[in-house]
Amino acid sequence: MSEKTYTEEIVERSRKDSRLPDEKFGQSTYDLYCVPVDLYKKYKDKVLRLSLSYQEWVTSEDSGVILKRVSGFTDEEIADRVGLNEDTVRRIRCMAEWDIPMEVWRNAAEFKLKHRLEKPLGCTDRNIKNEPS
Amino acid sequence: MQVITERIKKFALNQGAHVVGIASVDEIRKQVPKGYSPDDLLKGAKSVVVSGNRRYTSGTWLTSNIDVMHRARSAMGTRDSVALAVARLIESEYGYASIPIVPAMFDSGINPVISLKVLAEMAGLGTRCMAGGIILNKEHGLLGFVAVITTMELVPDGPLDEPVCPHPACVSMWEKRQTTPCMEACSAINGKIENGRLKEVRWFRQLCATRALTTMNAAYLRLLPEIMDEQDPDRRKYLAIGQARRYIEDPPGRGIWGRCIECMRVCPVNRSAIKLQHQVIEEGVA
Repeated sequence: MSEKTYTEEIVERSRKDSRLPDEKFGQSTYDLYCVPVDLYKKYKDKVLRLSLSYQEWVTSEDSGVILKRVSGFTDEEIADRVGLNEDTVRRIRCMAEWDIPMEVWRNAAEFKLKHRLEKPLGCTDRNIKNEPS
Repeated sequence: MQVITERIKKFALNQGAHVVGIASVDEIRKQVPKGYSPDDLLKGAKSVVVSGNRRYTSGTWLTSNIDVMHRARSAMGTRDSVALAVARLIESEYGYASIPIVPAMFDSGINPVISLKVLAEMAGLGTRCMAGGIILNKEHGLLGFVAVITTMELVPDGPLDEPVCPHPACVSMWEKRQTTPCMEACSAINGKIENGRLKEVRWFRQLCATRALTTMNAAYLRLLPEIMDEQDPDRRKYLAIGQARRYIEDPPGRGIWGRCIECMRVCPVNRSAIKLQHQVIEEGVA
């Protein structure tokens, strides 16, 4: 019988298969998935504005029907622009995508409720006060 | 090859698709960033079969209860099964590797593995519109797309020659007031029209996301740190199960996506499509 616990054995086997360097083992859960908070705060806005979170197209040079992408970059493209590596950019982006004040969700529901009352397509415009938008 | 291409298209239509088109991988590659071409997902991919389904019936668009409309999206299950059926047909009858691509195939965060919008546009199923770059179809308006990436060489349709957006009514509105119905409806949308064509299109996806994905699990996960930070046990409890339901519902159990359709409810192209669909039915009955 192994002297290691079942969990220890699982951890050891998972580390072997991950092929990560030793310094990547035993990290805090935060460090497994996130970047340091100061780094996040420094780059959050830049990454959000360069990522698909903000998309912009303009008329192409040939004036064809396909618009030219001028924003909405991949993590690799953002990394080139801000001088970070791709993995760091991906972590910052994934931390930032939903890092928006809860108020925006409340405003979303109010927007939909009011807009559908102002612009009813259907036969009635009843105000469904107790239902979510 | 033309005969086989037409047979595959007809098969997709018989499976429930409303529109079908073929895009060339070589042409798509010119439009997408490195790593997001169909042949990045399937080595040797030559073609993409893209199909679109109307998201709602005309009646659903006209409902007085918007919740009915959002829940009706479940009918879109048909759309995903078209992709699987087409992929299986190509593999079993022609022997070419194929991958069905359906919405919500996320890479990391909420970035997709591939852009269904680009695939649909390159297959001639519509063009980008002012409203968030959605691909609008002239006949059907808003569509939900799926695709099949395959190593089989098929005859491509290519993109349309003329843009679907802006609608003449929007051009007229822009000339008078420098806005459009979609822009006026939602602040996530912005842009410019020049000489009757889209000049600039801008979209704040994360603002749109809080509206379209209001009940996504991520909304509840966003609430979670606020719940944990609340010190008062009663307030914490009701934050978790109470008033927040009004705004983000109970997504762990429901998870309804696409809960905002306001830009499309006012879009003249989409409204014409709804009306057209309705008239066809009425004429058919008459």
